[in-house]
This record gives sequence, structure tokens and C-alpha cells, in this order.
Amino acid sequence: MADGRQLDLQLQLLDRQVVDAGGRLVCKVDDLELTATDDGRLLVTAILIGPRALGPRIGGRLGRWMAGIAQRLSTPDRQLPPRIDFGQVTDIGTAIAIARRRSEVDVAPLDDWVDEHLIGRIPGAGHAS
Amino acid sequence: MKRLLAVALGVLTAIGGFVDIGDLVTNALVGSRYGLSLAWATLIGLVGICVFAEMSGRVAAVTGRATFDLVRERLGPRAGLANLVASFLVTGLTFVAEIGGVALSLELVTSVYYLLWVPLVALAVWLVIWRVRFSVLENVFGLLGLALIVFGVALWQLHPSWTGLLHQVAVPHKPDGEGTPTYLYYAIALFGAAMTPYEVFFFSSGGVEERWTRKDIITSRINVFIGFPLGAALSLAIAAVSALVLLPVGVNVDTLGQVGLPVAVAAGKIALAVAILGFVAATFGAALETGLSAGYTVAQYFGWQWGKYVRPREAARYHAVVLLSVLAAVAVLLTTVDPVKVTEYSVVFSAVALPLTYFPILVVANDPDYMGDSANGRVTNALATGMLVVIVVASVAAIPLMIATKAGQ
Amino acid sequence: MAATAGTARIGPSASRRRLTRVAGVLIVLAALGGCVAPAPSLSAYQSKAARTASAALSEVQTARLAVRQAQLGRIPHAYADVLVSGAEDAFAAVQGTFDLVQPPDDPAADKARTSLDEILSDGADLLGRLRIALRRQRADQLARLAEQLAPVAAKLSEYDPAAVG
Repeated sequence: MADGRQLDLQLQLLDRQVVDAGGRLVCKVDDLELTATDDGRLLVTAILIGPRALGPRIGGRLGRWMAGIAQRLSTPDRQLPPRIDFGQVTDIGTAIAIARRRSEVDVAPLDDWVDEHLIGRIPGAGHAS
Repeated sequence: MKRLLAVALGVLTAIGGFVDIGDLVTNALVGSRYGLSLAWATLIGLVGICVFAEMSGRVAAVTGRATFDLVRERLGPRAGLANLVASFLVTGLTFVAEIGGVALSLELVTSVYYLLWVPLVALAVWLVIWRVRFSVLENVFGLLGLALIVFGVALWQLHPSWTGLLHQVAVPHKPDGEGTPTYLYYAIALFGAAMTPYEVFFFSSGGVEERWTRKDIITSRINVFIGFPLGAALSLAIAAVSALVLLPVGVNVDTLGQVGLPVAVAAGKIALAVAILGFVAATFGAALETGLSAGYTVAQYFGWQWGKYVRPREAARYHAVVLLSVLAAVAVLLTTVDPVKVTEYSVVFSAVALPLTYFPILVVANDPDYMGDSANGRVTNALATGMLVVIVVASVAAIPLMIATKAGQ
Repeated sequence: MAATAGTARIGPSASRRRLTRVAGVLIVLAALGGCVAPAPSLSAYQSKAARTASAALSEVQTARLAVRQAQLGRIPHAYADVLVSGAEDAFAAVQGTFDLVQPPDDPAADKARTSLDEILSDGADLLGRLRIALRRQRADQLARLAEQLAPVAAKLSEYDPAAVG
């Protein structure tokens, strides 16, 4: 991706809704991972998700608390905030579209947990209405 | 033909769906104390909600994004979070009031203490949200809410001096013996009752649930410009019958039972039964809307999948928020706080929280990158900006007036 | 070398925090000012008495209206019951709140209190008996008690805390 687009991160990327290949809502762009290239430019390499990404942007004591709780609740193999590689992005418009499906992108452990222990146990959870 | 029926249905549901416990109580209360001299506040609120809802509906149709989704995008995560907390609390307070309203209405029919109804009502609300299809939900409660037209019938039966009533509306005259701060406080309360934020969350999220596209802008507009004015007409009818029956004898409305009394006086038992049906339908419908909206605000801020158009398992966190909100509302009501008092506070806090959600929508509706050709025209903008000034004034004045008048005494 | 876009945030300045704290204290003080007050001035007490009378009047009139409409068959029994017992409870609350207020050290205040209390006791007694008669469905007693409430309502509506004697 030698010839990337120039973007205003604040206006066009941050806090945008991320939508999957089937139109399902995935997450928000809570933060972005930037990587410096050899010639000194910054490339957006990933979308960062969740309280550990959002906490620092909210800032102050509340933000640190958010990030701290999430860190404590995470398992040792998930020390960094969940990320979606920016190569997956197919469109940047009113929402950010990605190529994969929600289920393939493991970014919402809380959702899975709630589903498994609470909502999924209530009769009728498998049918939309 | 089918399209016509769909539009007709939309209009009908809009009328019935746009009166809730806040409108019932606040309008009756104001009518019994001030006659129609505060009708101007309801009318300004009407203009405001029409402008606000039209913009939200148009934004939802063009972008496929609901109101709160855009709030965080436009305001950033910090301001967006403050906005979320305020909006969620106000919506939650309204939710408590609506569930309380259903329970109070059932008490009027059965004489069974309202608190015993609260858990049943909450369960019913949650079950309907969980299982009943969105369109059925809207249509049924919207149509049943039309029962409130009986207030118009009652007004007719009272044979008022129409010119007298019109004069009260057109030439507002604060009654002697009532202080100006209290008068203005109730103006803000009426304004807040007409412009409750959850209506817009629900309207725009509903548009996304129903997969609106550009060609649905016209449906959205018909809903808004017929539904809300007729809802306001019902509100004014409620105020007017209170003014004609209760004001002369010195009754100040502070219970739901008093709201229905003028209908009985004017038109008898059957009319009263229809009015109570209207109370139940309107408050239950509004409880559904506020419950769903409590979930919409949180889910849309964090970007979680929300809505009834997907399987609950795919929107687990959203449904968890709704479920927890229902439980919290029951807990609050079980502290025996008076639901009518909660209602009176909720409309004022609605006025306070209004600018937070109004302003981002105004900005997005103007953004040509988002809206293309459908961005605000000059007339809409003039109106919308004028309303913004009114909304900010009401929001800023609300709390000081509440303190100064001890919440309207 | 990876960095994140949002980490360069500056927290609220110290003066903003102080301002927020001061504002918070002021709001709390203002709110509390409305809750618990020491003995008010004479005119404030008289306003309180006047407001109490009008709130009490509202409850009495609600009960009378409910009973009348029930007699005319325009409202069902359950509805009338809710209205009348609600009015009775609210009336008691209004009376109780007024009695708890410490009157200022002034004979005019004491006069206002005694005269209002007299009317309120009458009203409370009659409302209780009205509710009992309603629940027992004793139409004759209802009619009589409603009639007896009429002068109470009149006195409440004419009540003037500043009147002498």
C-alpha cells in the first residue's frame, strides 16, 4: 500500500461506526494504531477497539479507570486492545466497512460473555422479531 | 393502494403514539392552574419537535445512522459520554414514569394498588420488547392510543366559548395570584413534555430498524407533520377540559385520576372508559419506546449491534441494557416514589438535556458530505437555528427556576 | 514503532477543576436552601398558609367532584374510590407538612395557624368518613357528608392568613 489516502483522522475515521460485510454493526473506531514508515510518514495500520482503546481518549480519572478495569478483566493472552487490521477496510464513508464478518473478527468478548451467560439463556434469543 | 394504507397506518400510529404520561399529566396540571394561557409553550414545543424529528428522520433515511450513533461521532468520545449519561438518565427517568403511568391507569380500573401492578407491567413491557415484531408493536399501540381523541369529544360536549378559548391561547395572560417564575417554570415543563429526547432516539432508530432509504423521507415527513400536530391538538384538548372543569372549582391536578375526571363530567362513563384505555395504550406504548431507547443510546454510543431486526443473540449487550433498565425502573418505583411526581421532574429534565442531542443532529443535517442533496435548506436552517436558541434558553433556565419555585409550587 | 492517535490528551486545567467544584457546592447549597428552613418571616409563613389552604381545597374539591360524579353514574365505583382515598391521603400530607413548620414568634402567625388548623381538622375528619361511606356504598351517608364538605371548601377558598380574628 505505497500510495495511501490522506485522511483527517478526527473527521473521517475516529468514532465512526464499523460495519461488517453483511451490514452488521461491529464496533466503533475507538482508537487507531499508527505506524511510522522509514521515510517518516505515519500510516494507519489498525483500528483499536474497546475500553482499553477508548479509555485514554476519554482521559482523566474516568478514562484510566475504564482502561484499568478492562485490563484486569482480560486474560493473559489478550494484553493489548482488540484490533482490526486496517487492510480489512473496504470503504470509508458514513461508516467504515470491513471485508470480514463480525463472527470472524474476535473483537467483542463482552458481547460473547453476555450472550453466553445471560441473553442466550432466555427463550427466544435465537429469533429476530 | 397498499402504499396508501401504509402511509395511513403510519399517520394514525403517529397521532396515538405522540402522547405519553408526561403530556397527560403536564397538560392537565397546567390547564387546571393556568387555563390555556400557556398553550403557546405547547405550540412552540410542537414546532421544535417537528423540526427535530424531521431532521433526525431525514438523517436516518439518508445515512442509515441513528441519532445517538452520530452524537459521539460529532462531539467526540468525552462530550459524547457526558451526553450519553445525561440522555440515558433522562430517558430512564421517563421510563420509570411511563411504567408508573400504566400501573396507575390499571389502578383506576381495578382499585388494586398501583405498586402491585408495577412488576407485572414491567414484565409485560419486557416481553413485548423481546418477542413482538417492531411494526406490530408500533401499529397496535399507536392505534389504541387514538382512544385519547375522547378528550376532543369531551371538549366538544362541554360547549365552551370557542372564541374565549382562542382568546386565552392567542393573548396569554398569566392569572393574578400566580408568580411569574412559576408561570415560566411550567412553560418549560410543557416544552419539555412536547420535546422529550427519547421520541427522537426512537423515531430515528425505528427508521433504521425499518431500513429506511432516501425514498422514505416522504413517509418520515408525513408521520412528523401530521402526527405531532395532532398529538399537540390532543395535548391542548386535555389542557382545555381541565381548564373548563377543574380550574373553576380549584382542583389542581396531581393524580392521574384527576386527568380523566373532566371526560367523565363532560361525556359520562363510556367516555371515561375510552379515556382510560387511551391512558393504558399511550403509557404502555411510551414505556416500550423509552425502554428501547435506553438501549439505543448506550449501544449506539459504543457501536454495539442493536435493534430488534437481528436475533437477540447477535445484539446481546443491547438486550442486556434493556433488561437491566427494566429491572432498575421497577426498583425505583418500588421505593414508593410517586410516579406523577417523577413525571413532573422528567419533563423538566428533558428540557435540560435537549440541547445535547439537538445540536449534533442539526450539524449532521447540514453536512453535505453526509446528506448530499438532502442537507438542510435555508428555510429549515433558519427555523432549526431559531429553535436551537429557544432550546438552549429553556435548558439553561430550567434548573434555576426549579430551585426558585421549589418545582412549581 | 506504533503509536495511537488519541493519546495526546490534555486533562482539564487546575482552574477549571476548581471552578467545577465551586459550582457544585453552590448548586448543592441552593438545593438544600429549599429543603429545611428555620422559622420563616411572617409574610413567608402567611404565604405558606395560603398555599396550604389552596392545596387542601384542591383535595376537598376533588373528593366532592368524585362523589358527585359517582352519584350521577358517570364514574365507576373503583375510580371514585381511588380518587377519594387519594384525596384523603394527600389532604393529610398537606395538613401534616403545614403543622410541622415552626411559626414565627408573632401573634398574627399563631392566629393564622389556629384558624387554618381548625378548618383542616374538619376537612380531614369529613374526608375520612366520606371514604368509609363510599367503600361501604352508603349512598345516603355519602350525600350528607358531601354536603357537609361544602362549607369546608368555602372556608378554605376564602381563607386569608392575614385576616384579623
